[in-house]
Amino acid sequence: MSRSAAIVGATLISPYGIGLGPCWQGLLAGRSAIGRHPQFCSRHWQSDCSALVPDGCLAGHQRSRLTAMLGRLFALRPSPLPAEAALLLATTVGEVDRLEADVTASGGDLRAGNPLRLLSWLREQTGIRGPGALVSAACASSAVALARGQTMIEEGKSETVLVVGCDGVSEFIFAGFSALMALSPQPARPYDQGRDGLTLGEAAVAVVLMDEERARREQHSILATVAGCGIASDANHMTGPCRRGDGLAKAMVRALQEAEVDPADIAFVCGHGTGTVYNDAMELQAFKQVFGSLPPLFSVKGGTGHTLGAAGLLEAVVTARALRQQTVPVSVGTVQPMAEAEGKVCLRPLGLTDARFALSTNSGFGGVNSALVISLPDRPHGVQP
Amino acid sequence: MVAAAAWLVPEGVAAWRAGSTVRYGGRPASEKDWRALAARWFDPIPRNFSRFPDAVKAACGVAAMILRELGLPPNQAGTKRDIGVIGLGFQPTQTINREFYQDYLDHQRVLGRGNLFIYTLPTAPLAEVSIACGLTGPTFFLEDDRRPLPALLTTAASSLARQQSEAVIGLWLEPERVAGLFFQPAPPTDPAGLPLSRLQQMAEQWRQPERLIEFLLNQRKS
Repeated sequence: MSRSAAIVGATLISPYGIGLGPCWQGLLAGRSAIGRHPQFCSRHWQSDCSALVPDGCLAGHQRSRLTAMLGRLFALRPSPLPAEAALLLATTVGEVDRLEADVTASGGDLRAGNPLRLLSWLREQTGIRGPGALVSAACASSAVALARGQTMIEEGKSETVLVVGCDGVSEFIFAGFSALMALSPQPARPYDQGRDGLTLGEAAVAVVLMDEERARREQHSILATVAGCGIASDANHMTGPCRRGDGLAKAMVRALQEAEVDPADIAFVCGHGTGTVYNDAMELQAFKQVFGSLPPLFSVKGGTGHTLGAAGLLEAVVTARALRQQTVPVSVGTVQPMAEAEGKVCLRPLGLTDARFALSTNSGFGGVNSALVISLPDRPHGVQP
Repeated sequence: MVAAAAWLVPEGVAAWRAGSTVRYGGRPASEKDWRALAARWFDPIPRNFSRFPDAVKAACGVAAMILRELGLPPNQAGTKRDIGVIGLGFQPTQTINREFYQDYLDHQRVLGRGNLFIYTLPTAPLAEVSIACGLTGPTFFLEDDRRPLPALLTTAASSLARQQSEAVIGLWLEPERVAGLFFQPAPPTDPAGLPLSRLQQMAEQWRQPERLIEFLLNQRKS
């Protein structure tokens, strides 16, 4: 492939606060941003734990929690952002709190929570006039959007793509995950022997992808490149993953092939690691299929909670940062790693030497799986993020 | 190229392949109708099929008709195939979102119904298709805000070009309507399919599956 997709801008709002800095520092310190939030507390539900973006980090007077996050995010301007850029918005269900309010008030307007309206709002905020699309793939939504952005650049359809991933915590989401018995009463413990469910979180993340040659020509700093992507399905069950991890393994193999790297070249894996019994066990089976010997592994979800449609993008950005820093952060919440991952799950920051490639994986309802190979650029360029 | 198509719309249910059209009759109006159709589409009928929302049943049916048309009957003895499922159309799952939340409110905010919640995602009908038909390629939802159908065609084509799967089923979901297309790399020896470029040119004009269907039916005549 003659073109490659470089990450030239990245910013986020997470339960740790505004920007990648607080999130990275929190993960490095093994500190969780999960708390107990009584507004989502019901005696019928499994948990009152969640990871919410602090109120002070939200833009005021917005129509939904997502626009409150995104409004603040785009005040930060993830430059460079040419008007002819393409725009990809990833979310699982969009402005669900608008839908909640509308159903509660009137049961009426079907358009209230339509994510296409959020896309058009985002166009106004960013001034982007290029092609725009909504991408959704359950909890792999923003990883799939990043993969689509990479494809658009490599095929020469766009030179710049803004990829945005966002989802918020709401009563709707809490009620649904609680009904599925998926929530942990405690903060999530990914890859832990005592894991018993996930913790919901929220975030908004924006990444600017640019054709690497253009980025160099215009002297933008290149944080990392998206070297390979794979997407595959389990074709197994709506809420239960394939226990052998076949779909995830297939996604990882495709991503590695596309990036033209061997499993041995992968310095670490940022896993999906939700903290549910079946997901984490499935992932380890998939890693075993692909790697044989597991590379260092961590999950951010014991820190940020499971940020649903934003998770893939947030984790890709953290992965890029880890490569730049040559440090694997702590798998927050993991105390006693699962036997299959003993000695591989990062319980403290792990220093690396000459690491160039890392893998970020996601899986979601319906058996969707994604894998991204994130790479440091061939030639160092620009400032450290 | 597009090798086959199928649709389930108010006017009827049918599958198309260059040179032939198979009509399955009218749109199902009752659970009995759905079961009768499902028995023609699947062997065996997917577990819980009767509990799927109608939009999900329709999506599974359209995909199954396409696969049957191509001699690839879905999920025989658990056979899995390297075929992707890419879809567009939010409205059917938006309706389920409302139904889920209204049901939750009607039950004094105690618990949501898990079997409705799983269908609130735009990918839910596509995921059920991949499960019912045993399709292990990329499954995701993509809706361009200006050119929805051309973007679906382009995405399917680039997914094939990058060898993310051997073939792709593209599904267009609307309330009461589902249309599906089967994309595969054009084999040089088989001129039977419809070149994607012809479809792409026309797709700029379409906002309803009916126009796509009309176009495909006209291919038989031309």
